[in-house]
Amino acid sequence: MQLERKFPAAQGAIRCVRYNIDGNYCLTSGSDRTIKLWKPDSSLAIKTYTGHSQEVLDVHSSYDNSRLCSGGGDKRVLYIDVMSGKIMKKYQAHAGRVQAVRFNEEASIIFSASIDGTVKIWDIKSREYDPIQVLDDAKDSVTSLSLGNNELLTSSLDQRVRIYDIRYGKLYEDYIGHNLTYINISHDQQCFLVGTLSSQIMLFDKINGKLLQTFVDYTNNTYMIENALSNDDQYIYSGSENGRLICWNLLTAKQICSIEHESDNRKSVNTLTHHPKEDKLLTAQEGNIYLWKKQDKIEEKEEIKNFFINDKQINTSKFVSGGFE
Amino acid sequence: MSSRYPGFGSKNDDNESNENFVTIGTHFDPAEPTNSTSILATLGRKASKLVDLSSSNYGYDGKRFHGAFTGGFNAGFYNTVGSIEGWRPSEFKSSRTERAGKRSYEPEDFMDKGDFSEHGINPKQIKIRNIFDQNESVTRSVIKQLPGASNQRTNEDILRDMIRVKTLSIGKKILMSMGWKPGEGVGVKMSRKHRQKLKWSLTQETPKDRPPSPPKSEEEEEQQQQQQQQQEQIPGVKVYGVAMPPPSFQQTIKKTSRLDDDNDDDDYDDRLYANINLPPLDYEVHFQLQKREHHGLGYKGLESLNLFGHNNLFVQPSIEKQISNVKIRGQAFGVGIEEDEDDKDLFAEDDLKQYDYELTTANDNTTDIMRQKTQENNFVLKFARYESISMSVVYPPPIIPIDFRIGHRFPKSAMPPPPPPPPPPPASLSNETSVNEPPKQISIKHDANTRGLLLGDLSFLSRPPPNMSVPPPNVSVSPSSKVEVTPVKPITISTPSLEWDVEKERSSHTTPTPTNTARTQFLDAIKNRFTSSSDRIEMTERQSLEVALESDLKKAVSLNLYGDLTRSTSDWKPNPLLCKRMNIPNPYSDDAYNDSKESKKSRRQLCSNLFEHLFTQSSTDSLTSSEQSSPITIPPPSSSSSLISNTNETIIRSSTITPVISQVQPSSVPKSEFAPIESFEQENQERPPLDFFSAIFDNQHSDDENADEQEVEEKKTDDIPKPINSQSSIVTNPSIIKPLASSSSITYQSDHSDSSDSSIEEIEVSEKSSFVYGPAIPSNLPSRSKTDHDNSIWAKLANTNAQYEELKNKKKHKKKKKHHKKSKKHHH
Repeated sequence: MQLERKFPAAQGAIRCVRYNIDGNYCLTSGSDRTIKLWKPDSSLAIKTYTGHSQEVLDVHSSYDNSRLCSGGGDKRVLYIDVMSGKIMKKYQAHAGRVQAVRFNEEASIIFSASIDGTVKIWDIKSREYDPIQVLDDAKDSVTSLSLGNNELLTSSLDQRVRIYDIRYGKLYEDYIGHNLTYINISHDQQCFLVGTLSSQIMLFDKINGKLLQTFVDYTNNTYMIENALSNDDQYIYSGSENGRLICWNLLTAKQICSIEHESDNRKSVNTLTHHPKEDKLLTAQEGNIYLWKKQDKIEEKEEIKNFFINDKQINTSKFVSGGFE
Repeated sequence: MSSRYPGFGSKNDDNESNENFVTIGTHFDPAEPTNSTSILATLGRKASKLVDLSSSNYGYDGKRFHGAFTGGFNAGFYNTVGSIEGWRPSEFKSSRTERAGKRSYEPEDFMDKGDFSEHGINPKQIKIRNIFDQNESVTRSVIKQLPGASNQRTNEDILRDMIRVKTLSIGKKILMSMGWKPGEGVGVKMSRKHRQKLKWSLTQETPKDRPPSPPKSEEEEEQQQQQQQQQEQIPGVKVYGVAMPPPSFQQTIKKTSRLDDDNDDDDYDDRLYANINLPPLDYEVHFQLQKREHHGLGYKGLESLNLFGHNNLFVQPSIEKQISNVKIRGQAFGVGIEEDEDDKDLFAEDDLKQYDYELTTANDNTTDIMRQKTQENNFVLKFARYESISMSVVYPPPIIPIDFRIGHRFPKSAMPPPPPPPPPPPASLSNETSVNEPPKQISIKHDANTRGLLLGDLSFLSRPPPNMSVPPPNVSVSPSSKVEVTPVKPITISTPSLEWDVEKERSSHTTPTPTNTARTQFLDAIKNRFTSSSDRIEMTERQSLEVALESDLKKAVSLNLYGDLTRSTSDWKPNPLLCKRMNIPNPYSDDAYNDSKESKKSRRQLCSNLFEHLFTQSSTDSLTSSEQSSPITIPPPSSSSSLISNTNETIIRSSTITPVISQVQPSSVPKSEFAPIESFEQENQERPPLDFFSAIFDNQHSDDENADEQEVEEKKTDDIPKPINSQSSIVTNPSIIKPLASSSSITYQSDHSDSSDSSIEEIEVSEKSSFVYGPAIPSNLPSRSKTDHDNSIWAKLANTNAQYEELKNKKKHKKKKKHHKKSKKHHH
């Protein structure tokens, strides 16, 4: 991965960074209670959205880029108009801070996961301010959620992944055995990737819940570290608590690269988002946004991989230097 | 020989030496007309053509009418502000010097040029000026010639004489045709001597010479003169009054004709014209009449007027004169939008004679007409002699037919069956209750629906048939069938009740439903957070199971045996709406979701309802205390509430209270029918006293009053034979609980206690059990302390956030509960 651009977001610590549907823009939410809309390729800040009274933990944009939803430490879920920045709706029924929000495909529903252990489903089209459904199966905080075609996946601190299959009306609970921080469904809808607080990312088969792969060699013990899958589901990216961006090959589970964001900054890289079309990656460390571009496929060669694995230290340092020009 | 314009060709040099100079620029085309004005030059031939066209086709007033839809009249030069020469600004003219000068505007200043043309509103054309008017000219010439200026005639005079206007009044024309000339008197010609004499007599007259004037003095000149002559011959008429003053006659003389000018050479003339008859003198005779009758001054008899019945031929109507003075003619200012007459000729000349110019003439005419009329009819004013008025007529009263009856009675056939004759007034008062009873019942049966049926309104038929019985079925249950009551309720709740059902329920008991739902909501919400300790075996079993499961899972995980071992599958019912929004067919029928929907409501709403819930409790408390002997009066809340809530409450005091309930129940039954409605009404109105709030929110205040309150309370408890606390909830439920308990075995009850851990009271109860989190409360607590706890809990409930801290803060709450007691007391 090559660092292409780095720019400060100026909104405190960045809690999440998200590409929009086509990857031309991105949204960042910060600890200064704002949401910012960027054009990351030119590091242009387009608009700032306010409305939360505490830090904004997650944000998502609708398929037509006309609306945002966001959730934050103030237990609220906001539904914001992108053009005007007006808050169209404000849902306030969670008992704890909202960890994740997600539109459905048609942006007619907002899913919000909270540390109060529930996922609440809000119907945007109605004028009702009560959730149409509350998924309170989790015994502990729900840390993240991911949306498949027909199902909703949640990760919870009760060490379980719950798959709400709307199509069959079933709930699958998978006991993972680790505290789960982040869940991501693969693009082919067959697998899901969960990040755990035991410094490993696990890939499961969605159908039967079998473990497919485990990705290690990074640090994730305290924070919620997000992970991402490349568009072709070949690579897995994750942040790390030691300030690195780490990439694995999905099939071989070999670590392809591990790049330091800053040579002198070991702060955690919590959030990242993969470009929906190209091989680009947005990460955030503290208040800065980093845009990465995938290099040519040199790294994939077997020897090199082995080389990496054998001499991790050297490789990492090498990548670091390469990353910062 | 240098030109004045070096470098440029000039007139002078053209002929001589063109080759000496360089010409710059091109010559004008000689073919072009040299004298063309600038605008024509620019517009070229086209413009000139246009100009021609416009000028030739321009109609009235230089304006061309384009038609209503194409813009009406055009204006200016091709609808521009310019002229043919282009637009030329008017020269600046300083008005400084003539600032003070006042300009008088005339109508012409505001009129278009077209208005003066032939068809305009003020056409300028040749017309007779006033001075050329026949009469005027005559009089003027007379006046001018009077003082001996006859010899010197100005050009003006000559001209005036030359030009004669033919417009003469008919009378004049006739006279002139008979040889009369203007200025002459009218009448038989007389000799000069005679005339002279007459003239002299007119100028210097003595009363004796003057012939007495006839009573009708003001007549036509000729007639007057004739009369005068006649009257002169009549000498012997009495004359009353003073003699006439001579100067009055001199005025009349002034008007004599010019023939009399030459007074000087009378003698000469006399001789010369002795044989010639001269026309009579032309003067107006004003007769000073002498009074010959006894009427008052100025009196004129009616018949004396208008003797000849027609007006003066020689007097021109004044109107005409005035009209001729008006310069402007025609109908000005066109046609307005709102005027009806569109097709009127705009340029027609208005006849100004249509208008009134004198206010007086009209009046005169009318009086004249009146006079004429009176004359024609030979009407004579006459006075009737007064006669005494005849006596006022007194008419006899009408004769009343013998069979007449006061008040109208309809024929019997046309009337609906008459109501039974009302009882005599005194009797009705006394019997009112008894008599009215049956009709009242009838009226009760006629509720809106039946009445509608009677009236033919079938709209309500779609709804379920009207329910005649006012009390809801639940309440009306007989004591023996009490058991059935509880099962019924959940059913009504579970099935989606029709709107009218809900309405009815609301009307019968308004508050209970919301409060109870709120309560159930709340209990539901916290149900999952706690486990009950009442049934240890169950708990242990379950827990052990879970632990085993967990351990199994862990083991599997440790072996990396993810898959079937770690996966557990359960049914999950998505909200139909969610399916709809996700474009996924609902795996279940839409009805299936209902139950879960009810249990999960927004916490916000729940919080708002929490207080209400508290209040109903307090009010019921008051009720219970008042009717201590029959605790079952309070069923209302429980009856309407769902099963869950009931069970929850039951569990609390299941151990201690049940016996009491069983005792009380029989007596309570009859009352229960009426109780619910009353109690709920009370709930609605009642608001907990301030102390209640202070007990919840204010800690310091409470300590002061603790002592006396306790005293009072103890007193109370002494009075009450019942060992149990007066807490409402406890007392309330038994009625419902009982059936449950009775119908089901004891174990069933215990089951309930397990499941219904939702209420907070449970928490304390559960403290005992080892599995449960938090401290336990001894199950056999003294009644008083227990009530206190309950109260404190409720106070807690008000503050939702404090729910979970409750266990820690137990001590604090104990103070509060006393306050709560106090509030209860206030209710009583």
